[in-house]
Amino acid sequence: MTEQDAEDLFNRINTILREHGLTWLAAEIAAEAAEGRASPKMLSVQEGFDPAFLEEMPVRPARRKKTEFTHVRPLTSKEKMDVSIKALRAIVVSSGKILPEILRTLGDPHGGTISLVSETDSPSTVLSENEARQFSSAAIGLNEQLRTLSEEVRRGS
Amino acid sequence: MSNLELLAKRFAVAPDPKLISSIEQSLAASISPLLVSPSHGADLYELYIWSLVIDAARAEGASVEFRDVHSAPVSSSFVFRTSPGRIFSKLHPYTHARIVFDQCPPLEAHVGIFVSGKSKVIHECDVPVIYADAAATCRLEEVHPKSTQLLLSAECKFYVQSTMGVGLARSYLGLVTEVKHTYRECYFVAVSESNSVEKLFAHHQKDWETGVAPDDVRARPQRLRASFEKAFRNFKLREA
Repeated sequence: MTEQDAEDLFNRINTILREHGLTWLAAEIAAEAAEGRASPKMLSVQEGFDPAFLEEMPVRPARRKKTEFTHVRPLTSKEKMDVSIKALRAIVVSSGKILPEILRTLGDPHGGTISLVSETDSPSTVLSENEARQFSSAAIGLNEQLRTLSEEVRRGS
Repeated sequence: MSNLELLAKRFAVAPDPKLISSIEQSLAASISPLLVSPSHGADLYELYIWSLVIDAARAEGASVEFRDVHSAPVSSSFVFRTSPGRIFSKLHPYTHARIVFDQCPPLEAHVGIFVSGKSKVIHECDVPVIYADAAATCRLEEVHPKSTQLLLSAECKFYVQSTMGVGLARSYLGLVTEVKHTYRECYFVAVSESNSVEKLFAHHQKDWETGVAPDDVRARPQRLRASFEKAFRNFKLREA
């Protein structure tokens, strides 16, 4: 996979997320990718002095001192793909896999429903046991495909 | 472009179009309405941590029943809050778990309710476990539970890594100052990892677990559940 392939794929996945109502996740992924990668960088800098003692200071060349700074470099397109895959696993895959865990704790209610309802006027969400299992099964499939994709991205590095 | 880069480009394998197409399909099929809802899946994550609390109580020998705000048993239609609410609200039959250990005062595990802190300021508690008699009084008198009536509480974060900034950790430190009492446990739980958040909590000796998601290779949900089990074990030893 070339850098251009990875860049195209990164943008494609973010478009899919937006098309399916996950603009917030696409924005979080884009923001994380834009943060870049921080690493320590040692630089030689001139030592500061107090201007009040300027006249008393002997004339000598200014001393330089090694100081650690934080350098941030932009991510490569393949690294951006890594960010995207990690986020999809943390949010989309996890959300699917969480559902059967909750159902099990609730005693696997046959034909049961989970409703999320606000005290205010926010819209409610109702999920049947059957729907929950369908989302979960799709998330398990997605996790496997993301693992394969992750290997492809890494192999091309 | 260097010779090495040219060589890498020449031998690079384009992503398999079939794989990309199946990812598109699976992604679309995996997006539940809970992720598209205004809470962006945060309610679902709170429910997951709530279920770990209940599993921990069961592992420590508790009997667990699900009840609504009228104390009626719930067995198939479970209703939870999508934004923080009042324990006494009767607008919807919100579900909570009643946890009973032998010879101990009964407890209740809720999702997303307001709790009054030391300063009497009201705070949202994502997953609180409260003494059941205190919860009953709160429902009857229409008041918020006090932080002294909490046995444990968990603050849950369902964000990607970059959103897990140090600001969230600072705000949690403030919350703990308000709701933490002797023999009461407070946990910060997140689906993603964050070095700055973890460093801050390690320094301030707070209970936290990040990367808590089903099938985590480092078994962090099990580790968190074990912490909840310990809280229940200590409760039993103090109360029995």
